[in-house]
Amino acid sequence: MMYWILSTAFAQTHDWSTLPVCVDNISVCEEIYAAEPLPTRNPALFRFNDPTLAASQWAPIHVERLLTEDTPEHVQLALISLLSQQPLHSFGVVLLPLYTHSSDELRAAMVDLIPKLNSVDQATAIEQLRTDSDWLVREQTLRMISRHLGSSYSSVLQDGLDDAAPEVRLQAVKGLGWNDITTPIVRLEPLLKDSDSTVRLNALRTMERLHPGSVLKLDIVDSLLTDSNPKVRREILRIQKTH
Amino acid sequence: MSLLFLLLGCNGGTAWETTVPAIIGIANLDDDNQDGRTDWDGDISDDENDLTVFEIPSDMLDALGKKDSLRIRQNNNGFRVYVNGTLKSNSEDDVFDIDDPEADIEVEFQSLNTTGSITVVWLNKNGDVKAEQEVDVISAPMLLNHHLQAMEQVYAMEGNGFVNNQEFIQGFETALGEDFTAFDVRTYEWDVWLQDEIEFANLASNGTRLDIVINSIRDRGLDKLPENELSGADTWINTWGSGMATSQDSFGNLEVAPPVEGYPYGRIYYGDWYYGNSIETITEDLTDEFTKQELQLPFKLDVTFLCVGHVDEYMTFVPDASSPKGFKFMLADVNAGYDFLDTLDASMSLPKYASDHGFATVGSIVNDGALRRLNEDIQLDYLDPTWEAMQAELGLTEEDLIRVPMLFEEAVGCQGYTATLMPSTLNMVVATNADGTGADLIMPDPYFRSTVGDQSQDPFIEHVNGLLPEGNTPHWIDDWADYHMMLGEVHCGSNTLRTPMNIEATPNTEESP
Repeated sequence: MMYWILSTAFAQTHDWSTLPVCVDNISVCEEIYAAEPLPTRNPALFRFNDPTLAASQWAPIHVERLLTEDTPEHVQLALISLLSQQPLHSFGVVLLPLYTHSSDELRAAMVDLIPKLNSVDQATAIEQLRTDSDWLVREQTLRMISRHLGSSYSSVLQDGLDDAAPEVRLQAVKGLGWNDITTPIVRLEPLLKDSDSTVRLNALRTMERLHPGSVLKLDIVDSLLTDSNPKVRREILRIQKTH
Repeated sequence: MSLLFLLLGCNGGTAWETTVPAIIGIANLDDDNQDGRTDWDGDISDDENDLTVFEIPSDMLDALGKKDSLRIRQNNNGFRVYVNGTLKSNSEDDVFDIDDPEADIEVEFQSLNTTGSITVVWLNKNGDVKAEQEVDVISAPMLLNHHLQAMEQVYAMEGNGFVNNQEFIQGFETALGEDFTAFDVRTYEWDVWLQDEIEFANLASNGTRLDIVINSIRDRGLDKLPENELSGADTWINTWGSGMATSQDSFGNLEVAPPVEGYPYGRIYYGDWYYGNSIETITEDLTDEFTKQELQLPFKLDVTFLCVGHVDEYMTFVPDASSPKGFKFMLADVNAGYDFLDTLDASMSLPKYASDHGFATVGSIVNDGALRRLNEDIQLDYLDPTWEAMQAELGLTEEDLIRVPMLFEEAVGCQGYTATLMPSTLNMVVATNADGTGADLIMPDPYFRSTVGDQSQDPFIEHVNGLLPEGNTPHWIDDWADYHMMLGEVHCGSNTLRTPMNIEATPNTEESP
């Protein structure tokens, strides 16, 4: 039924039996959807290894299966990985409810589909996820913004600097540097004293990217030179050498 | 006593005014007569080929008087001594006389990494002790193979269904001919990652040889392959460790550097993957075995940037006859990657990357600022430290290094952890020739070109071919769909049996005090 609704909505007329791998035996498709994930490097993609099954023309069928309530979560996660490689501009309206799904893991995985949505649906999804109760979801949201959407969501990254979870602060500070987002030194400086050493490392690097040499004028240099994380020590030495 | 001391600083006794080299042999763990029992646990059969001959030095024999005789005392457990095929001693304090000094004396070992001794006693005609000579007895340690050892056979998994890698297999067959064997992947739950399941190692000394297949605790589809496909009279299959495996327990994460000063058998290296305060690494039972082995002292690298997290994803060693060390170290380098891209026309189309990585042109890669920063971070936090570790642990210098252009990208389904964007050239098979001076290098086709079907138009291939040391022959084979997109490459999907290194004692030429 859901597939029928979707195919009507998107004016496409696919049928299970026309899937290339299902032409001779429709149970093969069902097996692929229903199978337990193989213990391999990338079980999500491996499940849909057949290049014809992974073709974007079958996205409506995969979206339908993703939305179907009785689809096991491991299959949903596999479908999300598959769909993350396909354009989904037309699917936002049906996918948005999954950004409030009860499963933390599913919401975190759904983050990977955001760059494939249109800009309006992107904004809706990000607004929902930026204050998600689960830190992994917030971390993945900021990680995705840092890598793919950058300056379009600079305020989300700025706000992430104050997140309670170090994983989120890490992605926030990293994303500001990756995307050359203007950020005052006073906003970054506290992160040089963060309790998490990977945050300190990335705060140091972002400060150097956005304000070259400025960190060397701060009193904290001496403590960074003796930081417990060798990567922090290495980075401050590198900055010193650069200047 | 330390194996390292015994092997590298080995000195037999010097009584009888001679030096007796240690008796070095291999554990009799295989099943030469295929009776279903480990040979140590059964009687010696006609098929037995793992005993070590002990020849009493001629000058010791020449010193014996006409009515003098010899006696041997076994000083430790863990080995047996045979004379003319008859068991003479089996345990500590067993003593026997040798009636015929010309008799064949052979030693059989129970297990790996054991040391002990026998004492050869010179008796006069009255049975009084005239002299004694203690001789070290060493069971060879298990050695893992490095890339300068000659390739004997390369293996991979073949499928034409759910996994359809016919071009991959044909690429190996073309490059290696009869030196390549494919197994049916359908039989093994479509598990193509043969590198991860097994590690070839061996025991070899004085003409004896035992191939060891270390079966990983990963226990996926290929778990039964060693028993089904690789067992035989001179092979021992064993697993170290148990319990829940991590990705780091896969043997793509276990490699060996070629011999360098102080390490004539090379050095083992593997990756640790850090998550918060926890570290995922190779099972302790296996690292303990390496520690006991001593000769290939392991060192660790931080592979936390990688989704799969294996050392074979971004570095390798290839033969180089022109180098004083005999090899070059090849390491992924993102600066070299961007330098290479800058030589290309930004509008050059990349059809394979457009469909599967979202980069339609060279320019779309070069101009992706966040991707560049991601790669800069990887260079600073992981690739540069890897090179520094290699210099510190192996004594490498800049002359030993080939920086291979490479970029990394966040991988699908990996929550921000990365894999190589281009199929990793470093993740190659090094099929070394018999004398170790060169190799057939089986590398993943990078498809870094506009005309997908024409390798001759690929600037990446042309560039990397120009980096390879003379004597190496590149073969670029398709691994895109079933390996690269599944977060592995050619090396991950294959395994290589090599001619073992022979364990030998290095005689101490200095005079004993």
